[in-house]
This record gives sequence, structure tokens and C-alpha cells, in this order.
Amino acid sequence: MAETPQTRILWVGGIPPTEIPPDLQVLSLPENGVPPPARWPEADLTVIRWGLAESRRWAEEWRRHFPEAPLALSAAQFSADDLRVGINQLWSLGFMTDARLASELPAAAEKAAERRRQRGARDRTLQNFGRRNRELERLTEILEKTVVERTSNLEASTREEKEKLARERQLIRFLNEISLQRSTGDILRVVRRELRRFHKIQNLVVALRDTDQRTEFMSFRGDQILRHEGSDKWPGKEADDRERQQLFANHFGRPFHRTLFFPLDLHSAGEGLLAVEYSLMGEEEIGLITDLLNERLRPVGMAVERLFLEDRLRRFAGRWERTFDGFRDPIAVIDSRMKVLRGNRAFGAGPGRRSCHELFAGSDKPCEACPVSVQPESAQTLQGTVRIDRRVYRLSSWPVQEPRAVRISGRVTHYTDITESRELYLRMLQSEKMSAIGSLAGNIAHELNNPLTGIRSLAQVLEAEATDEGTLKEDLHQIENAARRCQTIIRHLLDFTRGGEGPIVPVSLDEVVESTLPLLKTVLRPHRLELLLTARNAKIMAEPHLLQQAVFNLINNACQAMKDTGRIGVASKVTTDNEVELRIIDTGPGIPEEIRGRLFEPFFTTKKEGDGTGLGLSTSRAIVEKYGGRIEFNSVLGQGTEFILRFPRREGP
Amino acid sequence: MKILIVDDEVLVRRSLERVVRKQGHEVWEAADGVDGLSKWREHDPDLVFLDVLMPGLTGPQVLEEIGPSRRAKVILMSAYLGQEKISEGSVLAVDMFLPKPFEDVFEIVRRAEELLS
Ligand SMILES: Nc1ncnc2c1ncn2[C@@H]1O[C@H](COP(=O)(O)OP(=O)(O)OP(=O)(O)O)[C@@H](O)[C@H]1O
Ligand SMILES: [Mg+2]
Repeated sequence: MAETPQTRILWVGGIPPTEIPPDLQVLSLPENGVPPPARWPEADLTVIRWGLAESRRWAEEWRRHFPEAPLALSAAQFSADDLRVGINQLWSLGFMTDARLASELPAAAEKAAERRRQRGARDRTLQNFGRRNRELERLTEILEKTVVERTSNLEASTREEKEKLARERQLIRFLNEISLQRSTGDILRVVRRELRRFHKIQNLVVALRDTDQRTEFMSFRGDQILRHEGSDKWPGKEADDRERQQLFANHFGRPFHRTLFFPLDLHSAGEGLLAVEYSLMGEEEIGLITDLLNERLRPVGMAVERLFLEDRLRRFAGRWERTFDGFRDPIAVIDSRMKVLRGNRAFGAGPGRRSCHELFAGSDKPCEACPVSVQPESAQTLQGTVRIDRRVYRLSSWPVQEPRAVRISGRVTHYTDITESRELYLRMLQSEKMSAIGSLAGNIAHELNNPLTGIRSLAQVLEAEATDEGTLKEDLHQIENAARRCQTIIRHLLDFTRGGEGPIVPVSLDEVVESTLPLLKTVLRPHRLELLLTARNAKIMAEPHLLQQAVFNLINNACQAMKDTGRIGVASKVTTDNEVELRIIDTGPGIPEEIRGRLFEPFFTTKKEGDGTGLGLSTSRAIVEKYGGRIEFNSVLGQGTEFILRFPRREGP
Repeated sequence: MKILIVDDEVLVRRSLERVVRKQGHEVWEAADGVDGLSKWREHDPDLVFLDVLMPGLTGPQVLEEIGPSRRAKVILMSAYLGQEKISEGSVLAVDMFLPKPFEDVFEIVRRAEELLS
């Protein structure tokens, strides 16, 4: 078995760490700066020291050259801006602060190695399937065979033939070498090496034009290859040397007088032009160079084309992968036995072939109600709703079918988290139901009010007229009382449905409390009231009468909760979040766990019939929320309860 | 004094009538707007308790029929205040609003007498 190769890390800028795990190898750099681009792909992971004057430029340049290669950043500290640039523009796969370098570096290296393995696999596939590539290989093969044949007859060969043989050998070497190159720059290097024996060649420049009409020029400075994009007009296939000269002259801003031009045929991938500058060269030499290059142009063109195609494919695949990963919704590609082939980041794929429910729901059983688990091999689009961990997902699953295949090869399943919208929907349903009940109740209430007024008034009249003898007077008093209770219920109901009809104005919560307390005299009487109002100057926006109702209900509840004498605290303050807060605290029995969830339901009451409508809290909550506030409570059994209202404070005085 | 009570709710009429009569006033009752209008014209009362929502003619419609130059004080009674469209003219023309339900019938009559004095 092959040993796992070390993961190579290229450290750019700053000082690389000294303590490195044995399976990592940090490439040292000749100088403390950005290395020649040619060296970059040697590394599995490039770490750029962030925060140096040149860091950003290095990183961007690097990314431009190698859109796919793994990059991580190292710094003493990262700002939010750094992270944003790192993620969005540099596609950094790690951010390593100095403090955590020791633990993060191996993780980033592992990620990079994983990418390398993936890319390796992809590259191999590409190599196997590239049509042009195969042609190139065949060509090599034929030549190789010829050489072998000739070599066997070496005895008979003449000097001339030996030379020819040597030339062919060289050509094969060239072809082999070129087919191994992984960048156009490297191909150019091989071509240059091939031309080395012609001392009068001064410079080698190549211009490539891809199908997106992008032009790239590559030239040498020493051993370095300089790449630059050009926007120049590309001379057509039939162009003469003058037009070609113009292309290079325009781009480089100098004449290209003594230059040989060799067009490169990149087939479907674009066009290329090789320019060889020379000085003082005779016809003969020119002829030799031309012969040599003409023999090699086809393979060079094919190799460049292959790189172009690969690059395009890789770019495309990379873009696709990033898009796939960038989706906020979980997406998984599964096979027909529900094993995940690929999941995006939101889905959270892990190592090994595991089924979708294992990975996504963390369960060894399929999700309940999942249509895919019922018929994973269905050729139909399946839709359903699954619940995972208190969240609700709507899923759509499309079959993947190869052309002409009878059975599907897998599915793509897309999950949408609908938890919130479902809750919203249920709440809306609830409020619609309530308002329907409300308007019905409102109509009935109006109808009832008239006779109730009559009953109550007449009872008052009769009670006044009745003598003290017997129970008549007391009976009439009870009738009047009952009628009054009915009216109270109706009033509550109407308030509940009608809402605030007055204008919304800035009000002081303290003043609302003070104007409400007199209405509560009777219920407050047995208790001790402790007021601590400190938010008088803080205004909130509300309709005062409605707000009063909410306060009334809460204090009323607190009083009613305490059977014997108790203490009621009403305290207000402005919080640090600039909210106005009101607490209503009682020393009552507290609220039992079982009913806490139902407290704010309309008509929920524990009071005996006639004493409570169960509308107090639901009305209060509706009022508080209407003005942007919140209501919550804390309760300890046997000790008491506090209800807390919080409103956004109005800006200004 | 002569007092007219126009309300379609019999118990409201009855209770008001009892208290008012006890105070020594002359009282008429009407169970709808049409009857109310004719009794108003017939007896020319000093004060009218007028309900808003009634079959036939509503309270405000009755007021319109009577016209602006009436002599009687008017107490408009309604459980629908704020919701019913009462045209502004007639609103301004009444002497007192009485939201229903009312709390204390004796108190109502006391306030009505204050209007008359
Ligand atoms: N401070 C409190 N301490 C203990 N229980 C409370 C307190 N406030 C409310 N509750 C409980 O919540 C229930 C619902 O209260 P809510 O105000 O909605 O209705 P209610 O008080 O029963 O009726 P209504 O307010 O119409 O008179 C009450 O019946 C009571 O059981
Ligand atoms: Mg209550």
C-alpha cells in the first residue's frame, strides 16, 4: 500500500511555525515575499500571512492564477472585514489566529488534502476521457513504436538516419513531457527548453485566446513567467505576419520586428499564437527553427487545448460546487438506496456512505412521513414534510435518470425549513379564528346589552321599592348583581374585539398606572401596594385607554390571585436596552406548570364561572404587542408571580 | 314636566318610566321610532329619552323629522356609540349622550332633571 504523502504547505509572508506535525511539510521560501507563481501549485495548501502590507495583493494574485487551490490565512487576529474578504473574495478555507495555529493548521491541511484527493480523482477522469488527450497519447505511441523499430535496425543506419532518429527521440521526449504539464506556463517552459540550442533566439511569447474572447499573454522574465490579460483585437486565422506583429506590439508597447509567428490550433478551445523573437539569424537557422517548431505545434496546441478544457471544466465544477455549498437550504444527492453521494454544507455530509437520515436527522431509521423512504426508486418527483429536531422541513426529491436507463440512478433531495412560516401560519389561523369569534361575540354582545340594561335598571327600581320584609329585596339585589356581571363580561368581549379607537400618542407608562389604580380600589383594598415608578419621563407610543386595560387586567389578576392579604408590587424602569419596563409582582400562590402554556389563550380561566372570563391575559397580550411590546411572566409556586411588560422607548423627549 | 321615552327594549322603558313617574312627571312610552315621532308631535314633551337603534325610524332620523327648532331636551341613548354613523348635525343637536349599558337608573333620571331645571 502506498504511504500517504505528506501534506505540503506553502507559507507566504511572515515566519512559518516551528512546531509542525510530522505529516505536514512546510516549504521554505528563498525570500520573505511572494514566491514565483510557478511554485505555488507545488503545495497542497498555501497559507498567506494576513495583515502585511502586501498580503492582500499576494492573495488576490494567487487566487487569480489558481481559482481552485486551497488557501488559508494566518494572522494574529482577524477583523470581521478580514473574514468577509477572506470568505467572499479569496475563498479561504481557514482562518488561523496565532493562538490557535497549532490546532487549526492540521485541520486546514486535512481539508486541503481532501480537496487534493477530490481534485486528483477529477483530473484522472478528465485525463481518461479527454478526446484530444487520447489522440495525443496515440501519437506518442506511434512515434515510440517507430523509434523502437528503427532502433532494432540500428546496424544499417547511416549518419543521416541517426540524426533523424535522434530528432525523433527528442520529439518523443518533448511529447511526453508536454503531456505531463499542468499549466500553459509549464508548456511554454518546455518549448523554450527545446529551443535553447538556438542561441540567437531572444524571447518567446505566447498569446492565447479562449472562447470567451479573453486574451492572455505569457512572456518570460528570467525564469519567471509573466501572465497578463489583454483586451486586444485578435487577428483572424488568415491574418498575415504584420497583423500578428501588431497584436504583440500593441500589447507590449514595443516593436516585434524580427519575429517568427506560429499559430497554435486549439480546436474548440480557442486560438493561440507563438512568437519567437530572434536577432541576426540566417535563413538556414530560421529554417531549422521553423521545422522544429512546426513538428511540435500540433502537440503543443493539443496540450494547451486540453489544459483549457480542463480548466474550463474545473472552473465550472468549482463554481458549481461553490454554488451548491452556498445554498442555505440543505440539498443531498442520494443513490437509490438512500445513501448520500454528495451533500452540500447545509446538509452536513460526513465521511463514508451513510444514509440521508443518518446524516441529516441523526437517526438510524428513515424520517417519519418521508416519501423518499417509502419508494426511493420512484421515477416521480416526491414531496413531503418531515420533522427533525423540532424543526419542520418541506422536501422535494427529484429522480436522477441517465439517458436510456430503465431505473433511476439516484435522487436529488432539497429541504426547505418551514418551521417559522408554519408557526406564522398557525398563529395567523389562530388570530383569524379569534377575530371571527370576536366579531360574532361583538354582535351578540350588542344585542345582549339592551335587555341587560333593562333588567339591571328595573332590578334597581324594584329593589328600591321593595320593603325590607322577606327576601325580595335581597333577591332583586342578586338579580342586579348578576346583570352587572353579564355586562362586565360583555364589556371585556367588546374591548377584546374592538381594540383601541383613540389615537396613538406618546404616553408615560407611569401615568397610565396612576390613572388605573383608582379603578382598582376595591380589589386592592385588602393588600399592601408598593409602588416604585421611575420611568415617568420615558414615553412609549400607545393608545392610553387600551394600555390602561392591559395594566388593569394584570393588577386585577394579581389581586385576585392572593386569597389573604398579600403584597402587590408595581415597578417601572428604563432598561439598558432603552425599553420601558413594567413589573407587576404578587405574593400569590404562583402559576402551576401545567397551565403556563395556556395562560394567554382566550377564555382560559381557572376562576369559577362568572368570576373570570379568561380574556384578561389574552387581551392584555394583544394590546401590548400592538404597541410593539412584549409580555412575559415568572412564577414560583408558593411564592408569587411577576408579569413583565416591555415596550420600545419612544425616541426624543 | 312631560317626558317621552322612546326605546324598543321594554325593560329599559319600564324602569325609566317607573323612576320618572315616581318623581312626579307625566310619562309616555314609544316602542319604535315611528310611534315615538307621533307621540312627540302629539304631546310636545319637555324631555325625550331617545334610543338610537330601533325598528322603523332610528333615533337620529326621528330628530331629523322633528327639525332643529324643537322645544324638547333630548337624551340620546346608545350601546353603539362610536360605531353607528350618527351625522354630526344631529349629534350636536342633542343635550346629552347616554352610553348603554347604564350603571344606575336613578342617577340617569337625576341628571335628566338637572337638564330640565
Ligand atoms: N398573578 C397571577 N397569579 C396566579 N395565576 C394567575 C395570575 N394571573 C393570571 N393567572 C391565571 O391565569 C388565568 C387567566 O387569566 P386571565 O386574566 O386571562 O383570565 P381571568 O383572570 O381568569 O378572567 P378575567 O381576566 O376575564 O376576569 C387565571 O384564571 C389564573 O388562573
Ligand atoms: Mg384576569
